Amino acid sequence: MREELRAALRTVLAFSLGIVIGALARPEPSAVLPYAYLFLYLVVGAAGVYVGLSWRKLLNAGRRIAVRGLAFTASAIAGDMVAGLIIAVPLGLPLWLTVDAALGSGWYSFTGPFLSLFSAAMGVIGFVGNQLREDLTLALFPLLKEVHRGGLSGDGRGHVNGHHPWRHNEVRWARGRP
Amino acid sequence: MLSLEEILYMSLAAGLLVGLALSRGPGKGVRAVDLISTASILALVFSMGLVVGSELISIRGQAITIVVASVAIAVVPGLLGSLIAEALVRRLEGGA
Repeated sequence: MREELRAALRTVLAFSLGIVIGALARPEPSAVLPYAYLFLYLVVGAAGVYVGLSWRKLLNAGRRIAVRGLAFTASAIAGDMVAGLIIAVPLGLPLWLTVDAALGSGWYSFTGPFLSLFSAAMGVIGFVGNQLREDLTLALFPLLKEVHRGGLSGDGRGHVNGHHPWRHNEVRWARGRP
Repeated sequence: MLSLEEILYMSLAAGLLVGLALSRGPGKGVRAVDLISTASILALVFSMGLVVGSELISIRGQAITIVVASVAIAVVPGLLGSLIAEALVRRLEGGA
């Protein structure tokens, strides 16, 4: 099985197991949240490490590719924010939490838990919506890239949940050892 | 007392510095970061499941909204972002 599918399966299993145990044991959120915060800091710290590892590659990529990369990033952020507003209003969802869920850009393992700290329903939306977004991107990208150059902005998150082979290749490439 | 957001920014900044340091070295620490990242993600998602599970009864009435919003978040932001990206790249490259 592909690494990204294994990573997604592991995360879905952990989420499902948590829901079942939570529904049966009914723990007080205040008893769980201090641990969730600690894991959240570790996840965000690890994301920072991956950004730091990729930074040299961006610097070495050249001006044209760097400008293109930044343009894609800015477009993805703008699209996420507008979409969050469009989705929140007709469904009567909290405006900024919905924008946050859309800004997840497929990073379900962070967005879902982060939003669940504010609202259980928004946590589920953040997790499931971003999980689906990543799965759709992985499934449709081979088709979309033929007709739509902007297809990459569908999932701006990429390797953070466990696409480690991709990142290792990036690191090797950045060091001149492709 | 630092707020949640401030600690998150500090975690990100600290991670960035560690990543920059690791990118100069032989890459021995990368495996440890992978392990810490994977374990933290699983623990975080499990904790989130516990919180959601404990409030399952209260969110059951919102099931249809949750499904519609999840599908919309999976599709709409990516489509809008890709349309904006396409227009922006065409503009940057002089309509090429």
